[in-house]
Amino acid sequence: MVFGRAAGIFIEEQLQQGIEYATASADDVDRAVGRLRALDANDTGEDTATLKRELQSCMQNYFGVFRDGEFMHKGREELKAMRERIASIAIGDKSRAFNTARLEALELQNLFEVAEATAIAADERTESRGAHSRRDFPERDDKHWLCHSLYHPASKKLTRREVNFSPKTVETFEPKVRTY
Amino acid sequence: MLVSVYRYNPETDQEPYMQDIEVSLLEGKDLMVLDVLNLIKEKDQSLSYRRSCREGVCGSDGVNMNGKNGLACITPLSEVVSNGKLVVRPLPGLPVIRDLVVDMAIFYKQYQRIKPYLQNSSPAGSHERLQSPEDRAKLDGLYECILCACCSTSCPSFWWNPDKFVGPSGLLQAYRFLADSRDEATEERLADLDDPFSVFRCRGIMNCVSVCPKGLNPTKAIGHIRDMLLSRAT
Repeated sequence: MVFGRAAGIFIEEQLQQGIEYATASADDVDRAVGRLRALDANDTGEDTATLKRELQSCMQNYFGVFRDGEFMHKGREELKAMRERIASIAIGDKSRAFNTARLEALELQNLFEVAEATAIAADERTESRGAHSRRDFPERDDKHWLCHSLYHPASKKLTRREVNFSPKTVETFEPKVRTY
Repeated sequence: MLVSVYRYNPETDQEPYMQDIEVSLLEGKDLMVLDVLNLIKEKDQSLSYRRSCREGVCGSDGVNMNGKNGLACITPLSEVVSNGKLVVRPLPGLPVIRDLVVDMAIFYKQYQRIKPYLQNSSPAGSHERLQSPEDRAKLDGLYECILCACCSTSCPSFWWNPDKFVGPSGLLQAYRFLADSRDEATEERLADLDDPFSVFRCRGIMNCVSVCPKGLNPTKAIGHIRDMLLSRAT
């Protein structure tokens, strides 16, 4: 509630001062509406429930609590094969009133993008850190990985961004192995 | 198990009807009602219902199960099924948009009306507005409401006057702020409720108490508001 309020106040101030923001181009609108039209036009794809279960077990099996490069490679192959199938879901209900079948199909497509981002970021980070625990790289590697991972969906590439070690009002935590 | 579900699609149906569906379940395994709805939806995607967190926190899947309101996600079959049959209907008393989805507009309007936020016109200090542990304890049993609407839609007084009677959910929330030591709008809040309908349409039927999935007691809160209104009048 505190942060929500602060964010709201900040946004209001910025709007009054004429903040710069990107407007949606005709292309963006076409793409968004295109997704809806594709779902409504498609009659031959697989259904949401089956594909969702497959995505769940892939993520659970290959990108779960304990990770391993070999398994993650397999998982990435499975995801690759799933992309086209999830993009061409066929929904069994095309009505307009509170259609949750359409909603769930869109949700699954979004979920797939997030799953793939998670998979690629996990596989490429060759160390263990916090909840990211790898059997093949059990140690924390500050020399190479003291950074944020940035995932770029178009190229499916991972880049890095530096961590801010000089905050303005609080002292920094010293980067070191946490032993509890 | 036989599940009888209320169906209505405004685009194709002249009027609502009950659809009987045979659902095969594993022997000796208890499921939540929401799991059963999910199983049905896998076979028939045209069944619409709200659901989100599936653990009784979000309050999306309030429905009427064998005659009693509750959250489908935390109601085990063993608790509601009788004679091998489960009847699922939308929450009573609100307009049905489709199948088990109701239009909650009037419910939210009553919630908005009681101004469900802290009102304090004293200038904010450099730190939080503090409260003693005793004052904080007065909010227990009030702040936990998740606005699922199970109570208000089980209340005959709310069915009859949903536009004028605030309803158990709204009144529980109203008392949550009346009882808050940090809130300074007590007088305005009471003045807004002081008419024959807003509070006094409650007849102590207590359906709200018997259905609340969070175990709260709106009737008790309404009693406190009545006390406050009466002592204010004298």
